[in-house]
Amino acid sequence: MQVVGDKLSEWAYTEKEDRDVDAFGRSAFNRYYYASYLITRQMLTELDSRWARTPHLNIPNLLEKTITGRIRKEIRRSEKVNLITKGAASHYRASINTNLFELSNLLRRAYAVRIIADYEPDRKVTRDARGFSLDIETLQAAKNWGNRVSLCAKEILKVWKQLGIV
Amino acid sequence: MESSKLVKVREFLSQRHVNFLTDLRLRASDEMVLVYVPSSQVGKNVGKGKTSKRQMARLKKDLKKQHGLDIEFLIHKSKGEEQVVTGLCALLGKRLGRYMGECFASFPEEDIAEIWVDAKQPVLSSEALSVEGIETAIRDYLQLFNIRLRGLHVSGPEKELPSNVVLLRVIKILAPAELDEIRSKLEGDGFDVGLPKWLEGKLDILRKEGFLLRQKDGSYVLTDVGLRLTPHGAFRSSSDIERALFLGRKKW
Repeated sequence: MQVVGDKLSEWAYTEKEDRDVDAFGRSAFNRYYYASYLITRQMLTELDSRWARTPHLNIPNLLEKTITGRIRKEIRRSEKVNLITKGAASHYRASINTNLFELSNLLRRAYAVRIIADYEPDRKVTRDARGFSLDIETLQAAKNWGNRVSLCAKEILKVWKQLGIV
Repeated sequence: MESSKLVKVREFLSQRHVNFLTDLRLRASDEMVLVYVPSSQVGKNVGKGKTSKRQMARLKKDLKKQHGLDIEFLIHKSKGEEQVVTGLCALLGKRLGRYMGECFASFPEEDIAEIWVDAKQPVLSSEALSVEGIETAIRDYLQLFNIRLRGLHVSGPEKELPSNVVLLRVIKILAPAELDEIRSKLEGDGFDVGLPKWLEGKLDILRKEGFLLRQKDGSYVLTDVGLRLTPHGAFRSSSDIERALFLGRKKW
């Protein structure tokens, strides 16, 4: 997905006709969203395979509520019986808060743009000093969604593993 | 004409004195109202044109409960913040050279930053490349903008030492477990097992605290307490199930 997105955005940059720029540009946004989604789904499979089938729209809420809750509960439990130190507990808590929030916010934004790209043809890809944009997202930033999602997923899995849940 | 849903959401938000958003849109495909919020307006506490994560969650819940409307908050960086990040990534790129992967930032509050750096070096040995070195550089840079660094997430191929919980879990699965078996299981699960004596020392501490026993033949088993404290659940990845699978594979 990532390479398809990169190719499409390359084409968008070299197109001269506005109409074609829009067509390639919006398809690139769509592929970049899917790249991020697939990385997230892989993470969900590793956490608990039942979560992998969560519909796109519900994933951010699953991350912020169910998964955050499950991890916090485990941290509390391990801390209470002195299996992990206070320091480690607060380190895990901070990491989980930040990474799950970052990931869910990113997915919400990426999904919002993907919907515009697919279903709202009247809203066009525009070009300015920052390059191409659709809604509030730049194509440059969209190119990096996958990397950001990977970094967050890595941190979340690390904590999950250290807590012995996996 | 503005849709009635948008009008309702707008009214609701203004009743609640919400003035932190940049834009409000109705997504036609699923009738979701999207509320765009710049991260510079998100603070620890509500007040003076600022909102908080907690307030956003409450507004979302109340709108659903009182009016049956779905909204979603989309937090985005301001232009100034984007420039700060561009500068920071350039700085780190220069410092880390070929070891530099990706660099991202998030601003959970106006004057607080979380930074992610993906470094392509297993052990960042020299001072300029060490995590401490990078952290100091980031702190100094952010200070120019009056931004405090709250979290630095340097991720690379570096592995972590296993926590106590992980050790108990592994022993539960393998029991009775020889030191070598424990070590290779941990390595297989992607953990660093430290210097030769590290693992033995760690297990000894857990033994003294009453979580596990060292049997006469040198193998380890959990005590009743240790067994009770090891996380388990109905998950496929639960330690109970992994233990059962291990026993199934073991040739008696």
